[in-house]
Amino acid sequence: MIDLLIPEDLMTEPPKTPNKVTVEYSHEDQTSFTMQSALDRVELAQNTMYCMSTSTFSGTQTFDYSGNPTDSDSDSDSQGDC
Amino acid sequence: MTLLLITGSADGTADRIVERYGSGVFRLNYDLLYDYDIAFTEDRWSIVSPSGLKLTSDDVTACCWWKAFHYWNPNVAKYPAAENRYLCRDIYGWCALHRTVIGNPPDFHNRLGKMTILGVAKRYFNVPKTLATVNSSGVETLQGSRVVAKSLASETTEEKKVLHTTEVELERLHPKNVWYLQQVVESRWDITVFYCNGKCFGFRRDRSDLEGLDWRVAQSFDYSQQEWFPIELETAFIDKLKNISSDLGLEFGRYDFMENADGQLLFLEVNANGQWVFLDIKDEYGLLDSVVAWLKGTSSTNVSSKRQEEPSHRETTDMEVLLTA
Repeated sequence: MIDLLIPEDLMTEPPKTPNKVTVEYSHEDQTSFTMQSALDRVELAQNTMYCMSTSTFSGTQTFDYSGNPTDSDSDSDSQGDC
Repeated sequence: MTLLLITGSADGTADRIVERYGSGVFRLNYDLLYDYDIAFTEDRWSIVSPSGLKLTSDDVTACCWWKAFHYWNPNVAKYPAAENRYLCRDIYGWCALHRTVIGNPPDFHNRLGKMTILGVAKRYFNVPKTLATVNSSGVETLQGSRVVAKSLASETTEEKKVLHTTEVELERLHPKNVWYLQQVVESRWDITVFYCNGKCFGFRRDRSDLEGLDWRVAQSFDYSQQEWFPIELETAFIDKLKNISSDLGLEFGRYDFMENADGQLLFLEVNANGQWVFLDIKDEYGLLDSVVAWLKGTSSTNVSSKRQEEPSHRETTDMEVLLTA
């Protein structure tokens, strides 16, 4: 008797990226920078922690200005649980 | 020309677009919605940013949605967050109704799924034998082939686990599930083509260093080394991409292929809202310029903003037929 597989049996942990980033957004120039790349910026409108999807499963991610991926590429309408 | 860019405040891709675009763009960040003064009546809408930048329904000439809901402020509760999302979608819908939307809707793939797209792709490209099955129906079409299981919806489990591309034995699959199965493609190269309003940018990634079948498992996150390298695309191949894009109603997207042992490119999928910055992190290959020119309506092949007013530019696509059926 062979044990049959269900999809969940094949599932594994995805590669992880940080699911919380601190963003500083300037309404003046309409651009944002993560804290790490924004240290030299002076006038900042926001300093807010945001949650993002941790999964990179969909293959490509959204990137911050420095080119670091921050979240998955799935265009979901759902709000996560970070 | 005023572009409304609906996105999130942490999106670096949107940063790059705004900077390159210059004046004439209004960025509405879903996650900062309370920063804006918004009035939306049955007749018109207006949005004023904290810096005094103003955009109204009378002024907007183009509207693009870029991953707006990928960010959320954990301090905003579920109910108001849903109201915020609804309002953003309503503004986007107004723009769609008034034919100012450029690019693909965020829910494109909710309307056109992987199997249907594969069927369209088969008009132009070789595709691996693929089957979505319940109760093992049709699995005989894959007998004799090595087979991988993939995910249709790319959903995670409650434990945040995912189904990477995984080789399976057909006889071991529990029939009371949806299985998305595909013939294994032996390949050294992953190929991806960024398509933007008729322009194609091809890149490839070496698979020889992959431990498994799925490059996403091994992807680098620090980008200290370039993983994808530009490749030349033959004119006939570009024409096929233009044709399938027309059929699918896509002005923009990222097409994924694999190259088999015979040097043939096999179509895998297209992401209508696929990322592209990772292909050109250092802005060397012109992807950003292409996107901005497309959004501005200044690219030589532009057929996008308000294109419905110029029906001579294009014919009705399969996708539009589907949406209006």
